[in-house]
Amino acid sequence: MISNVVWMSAAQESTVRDSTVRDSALRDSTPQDSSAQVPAPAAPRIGPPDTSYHMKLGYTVAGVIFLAYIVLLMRRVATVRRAP
Amino acid sequence: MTSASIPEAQSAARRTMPAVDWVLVLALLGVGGAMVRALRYTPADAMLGAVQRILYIHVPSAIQGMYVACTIMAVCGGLYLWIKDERLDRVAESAAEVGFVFLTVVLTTGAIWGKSSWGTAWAWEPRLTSALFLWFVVLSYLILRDAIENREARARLSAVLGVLALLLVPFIHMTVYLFRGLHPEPIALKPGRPDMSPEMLSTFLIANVAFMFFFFALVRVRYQWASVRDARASMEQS
Repeated sequence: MISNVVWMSAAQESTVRDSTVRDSALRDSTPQDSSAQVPAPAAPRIGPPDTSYHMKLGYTVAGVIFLAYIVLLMRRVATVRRAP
Repeated sequence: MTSASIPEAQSAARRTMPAVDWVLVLALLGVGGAMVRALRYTPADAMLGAVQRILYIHVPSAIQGMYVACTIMAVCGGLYLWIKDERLDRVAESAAEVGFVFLTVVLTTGAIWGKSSWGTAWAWEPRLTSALFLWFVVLSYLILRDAIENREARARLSAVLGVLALLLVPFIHMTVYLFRGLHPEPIALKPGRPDMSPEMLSTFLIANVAFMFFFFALVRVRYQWASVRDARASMEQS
């Protein structure tokens, strides 16, 4: 913000000042309709992010890899046991 | 093989390799118990959320796949080059194959964890790239073994590759200290106390013991299978 002010020309500063005065006059003369106000923003979420999807994915992928290897090993054992 | 030796060989194979390996069943129950504890009774990380529980698979798999499997592969390979005992070659081969499975789990769970925490599943940063390189070296070890028919040449050449693979492990361990990257520094395998709450630390230690038991149970079955395979090959040759 400070850098913006520094780079403003004198004409720009005058425009900003005029519009600020106009806006504050308008706000004072217009009745405020509280029912049309924008709802207050939701309170910031407290606590850790919801990363349970990636946790479940990680456990599932690891389980599938280990299970696939155990099946491969069991098939080899069964082949050796059956073979003459 | 003579007709009289066939039933003997068959019964020997059945004695060596029972249909249900109870050590492996116990190891699976242990891993299952550790995972239930990790998912149900261990709090989630305050910053990362539930995905931090991947730690209880990712790190024990890395310890077994990288440190334990590569050490066994190299030490047994080196001893084979010295005393030429085929049992050492079979232990090295079994540890390499099981270690490869654990390394695959490390890379995949790490990518999933990275996608959640870093916003990307993969980055060409030192720890990830060097771990992928080790995965390729162990894969080459297994492919090399498959490609060579002669048992003595296969054992000798793969032993050399196994010893060289171990040289990568300290480098991979040190990458997080030597280079600037995304991967965090070790939380357990470091000087000083692990950076974890007591509940997380106890689950982490239980998971490590369970995965170590699981690793050796798999190596045991793989070794028994390799022993029967080699015995059959010897009988067929004679």
